[in-house]
Amino acid sequence: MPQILTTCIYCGCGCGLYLNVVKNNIIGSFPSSESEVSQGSLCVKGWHAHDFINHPDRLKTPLIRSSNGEFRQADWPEAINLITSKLTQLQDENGKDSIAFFSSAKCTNEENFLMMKLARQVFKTNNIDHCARLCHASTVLGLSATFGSAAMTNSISEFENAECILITGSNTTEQHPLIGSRIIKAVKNNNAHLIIVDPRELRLSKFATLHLKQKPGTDVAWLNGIMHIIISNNWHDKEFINKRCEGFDELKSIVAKYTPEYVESITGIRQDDLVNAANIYSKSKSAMIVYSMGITQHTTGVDNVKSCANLAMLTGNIGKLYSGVNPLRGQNNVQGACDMGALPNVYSGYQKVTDPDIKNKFETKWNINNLPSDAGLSVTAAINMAYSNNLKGLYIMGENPMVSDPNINHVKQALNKLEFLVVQDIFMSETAELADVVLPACSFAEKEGTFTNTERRILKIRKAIEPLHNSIEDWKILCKIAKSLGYNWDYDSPSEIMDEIVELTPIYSGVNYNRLENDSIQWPCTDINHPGTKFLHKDKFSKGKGSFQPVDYKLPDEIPDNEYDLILTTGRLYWHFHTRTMTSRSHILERESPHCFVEINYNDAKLRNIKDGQDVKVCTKRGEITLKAKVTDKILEGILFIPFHFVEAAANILTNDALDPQAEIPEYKTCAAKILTLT
Amino acid sequence: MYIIEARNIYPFLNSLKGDVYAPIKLSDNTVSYGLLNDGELVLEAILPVISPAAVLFPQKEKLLYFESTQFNEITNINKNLYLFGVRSCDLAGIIYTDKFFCEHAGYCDNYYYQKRSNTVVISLASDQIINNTFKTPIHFSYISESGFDLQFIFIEQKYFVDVGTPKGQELIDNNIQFFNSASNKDLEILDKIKLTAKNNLPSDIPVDKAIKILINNQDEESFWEEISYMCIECGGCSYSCPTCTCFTIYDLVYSTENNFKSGYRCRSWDSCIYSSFTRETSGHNQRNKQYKRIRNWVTHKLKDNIKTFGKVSCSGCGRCYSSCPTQLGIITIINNLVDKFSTEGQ
Repeated sequence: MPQILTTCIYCGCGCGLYLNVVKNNIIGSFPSSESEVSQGSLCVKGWHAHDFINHPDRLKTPLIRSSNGEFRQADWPEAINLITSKLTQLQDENGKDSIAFFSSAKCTNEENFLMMKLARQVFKTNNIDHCARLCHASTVLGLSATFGSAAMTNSISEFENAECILITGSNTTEQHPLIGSRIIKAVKNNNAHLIIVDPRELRLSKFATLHLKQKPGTDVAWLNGIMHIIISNNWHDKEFINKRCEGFDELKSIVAKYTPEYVESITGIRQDDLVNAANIYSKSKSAMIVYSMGITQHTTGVDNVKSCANLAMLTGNIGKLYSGVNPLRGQNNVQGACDMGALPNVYSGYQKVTDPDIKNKFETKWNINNLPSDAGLSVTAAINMAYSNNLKGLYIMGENPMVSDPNINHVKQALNKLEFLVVQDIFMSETAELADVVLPACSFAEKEGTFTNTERRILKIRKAIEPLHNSIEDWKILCKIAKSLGYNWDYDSPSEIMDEIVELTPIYSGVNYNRLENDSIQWPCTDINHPGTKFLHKDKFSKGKGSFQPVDYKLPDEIPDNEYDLILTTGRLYWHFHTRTMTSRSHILERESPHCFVEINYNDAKLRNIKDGQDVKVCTKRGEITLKAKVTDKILEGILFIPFHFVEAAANILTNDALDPQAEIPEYKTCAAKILTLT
Repeated sequence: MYIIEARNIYPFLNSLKGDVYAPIKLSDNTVSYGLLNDGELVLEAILPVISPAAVLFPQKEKLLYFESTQFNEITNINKNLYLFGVRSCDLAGIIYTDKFFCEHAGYCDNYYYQKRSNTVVISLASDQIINNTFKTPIHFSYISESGFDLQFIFIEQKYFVDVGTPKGQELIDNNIQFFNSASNKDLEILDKIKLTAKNNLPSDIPVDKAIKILINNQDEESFWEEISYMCIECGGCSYSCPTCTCFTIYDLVYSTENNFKSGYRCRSWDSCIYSSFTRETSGHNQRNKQYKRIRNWVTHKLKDNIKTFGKVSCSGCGRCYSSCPTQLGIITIINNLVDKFSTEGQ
């Protein structure tokens, strides 16, 4: 009964857990007492992280769609041949950029690196992206512009010692439970001040000094309002600003009009609450900002992120222990997938594809001379290109846009227009059902590799069991494809892939599997003796001087009108993960939350004669779904909330696919909706 | 009365025919409970993160294989099991789970019993303090009085061997090359160690006072409500507890091409901390709030089980505290409960 140390597959925390193995069956998981992240604890998903692995629904063999529209079983050589011949044929007929690749934040760093290498070296296209587009694309742009580096600035272990923690747009105990628990301990044990800015009552609200409930889509306004109060009271950190930042005067002039009265009129946040929040945040010796999708998933996502960064710089709460701006990454390896360059504009380590020196470096290492030099398509742009018949082929590894992307009806039409769709996954996802070829991949328990968690910590995952059925590790599948097209991808192990990553990626320079065997490392780690980096921007910002990037408040893309009279916002539940492919196959997680629901305020419900538990229909301009009403006082009047996990009542049928113009991230967090009782 | 030298423990265990479980050190130094050769044997006074009860009642277990309308019970091969290194608190746990699974309400759980009846328990004791362990009405010394087949007690570089049952004696007789007779001096040292083992077990967690408060219904709802905010519903308190015995049953179904169904009926650990544990089909839930569930978890152990089994069922291992993401667990709850409601002086 071996017990194998690995890293949790669910959220970005990266908790250390053991898998308990009996005869190629995983019968349990339990916490490592030595994990720096989880310190001997796990959340409910971690305790059940083993549950889906041996599930009967696992994909067992490659599947090819026959002429009658049904899937038939195939062997690996046939499936690989079909994929390579079809993709090259599409490229020959329509150009290199007529196909695209979606990589996966669930897969390892090594697999993401190979996926981006496959797109670029083998298929000569920069059309490579992954679901970070849908969660933190705005962070990448917003924090790069202000600080020069787009990752969580601090470490998970620092939360407990922060004097003030400002959480906005993150339901931390539900989506990052082992960070949420640190925040509870910061308040309970160390009397930290917790400020929450969120339209919904959260589990953490009980611990909050202040809970400001803003109208969804008004974040720039309240952030500017807090900065206005700080500047007009002279609470800002002049020394820090003079020494380390640029652009203060512009910030000052832009936030000047955001008086508490004006902010209240936009956001609904009471004026004295806003003043209190500004007072507490700016006067604390250390202050952490925590944010997640509530900030990023807006047409003003980049503006929201920049405003958070502005606030931290204004008060000098960055570049030191217990103080910083902390975007919490949602998936186990979404940080790593970005680090590995599974993005249309950068190679691994955020090295631009448009930089000739960088291109040259990769060409030399990869022994070719024709890497594409223009940025490729994002996930959201690729779907739109498919819809307009300009994208012909798509290869999706471990993603499920048929549940996770906004405006699913549009996504479905787009995918159906493709001439060729490949989906590589562990279960028959809603997206795989539309594919021409489905490849059975291995779960995290069946392979070696690394994940990079939300605090930039590179963590090993280890093989606990042999690949189930006829499945193959994702990295080996990608190697098969490259090899069948004549590329010499003879990696013996993920360790060899990591060596190539390290050679090409400065922020990972000091990493190798020997080091990772006994320790985890936080990038940047620039040489073999470098201990890794606990917090970023010490003494100077990654880009030199920190840039204030002041922005004005803009309305969301869609606001309520006479017909669609409510604001719909979406989010997640503690018990489920993302598109529920794994958690719905974990008995207790699914039992805990088997049905979708819509949260509606008591008064809104009363007005519409809606009772708790009643079936209702929620409609937007894009579609409608039927689900149960949950009547509550935990949400503001005028707002509906729906968790997006459930394909049976998919919130993303309703959501708006309007994009942030720079980050191309969709506005999942606010759109106009109406709710109807079923007649 | 016997003595075994420390250096002989591993050879002794390794010579046993069957599955030998022991506290083992895993790859990142986490101490777990597993097969002897899956890690380095740990003899130090450290509690494994998972209790030995998990061998007899694993997190996930297949019960039946079914095909269409036929089914076969999955029986455990008649194999010897040795549970070595069981510490006093975990032994108290096994004494409880034996009662629960084999005697309770006139029913014997065959899946537990099959394993248990082939099990030899070799507990391990010393007078050293084990982190987070504490005294309770079923756990009053680091050296146990009964419940083991053999008990190894650390006395200066070697171990005194206490024989608890004929099964234990037989094991010694069959492996006599590893054991020597105890001398009078050994017995004298043992007496001293028995005393320190009892005195060293921390008694500063006011379990008795908490029990009284609960029995007298002095606790108030608002107390539980307040404390429940700390809970993030991970279920780790139940999953790491040596006396939590609740499980859920479900089917893993394989559908074949012509929709002919086969599969496994399984059981897996469950926790009353989860709201769906008591949620009824109608949606009604008698424990619909987190505080009701935490109160149930605690009162079941400290009060209700006195009625059912005559004794409380907290064995003072402290795992619910150490595995809790916010360090709640029964330790914090007892301390707070007594702080708030005890009418007696501390």
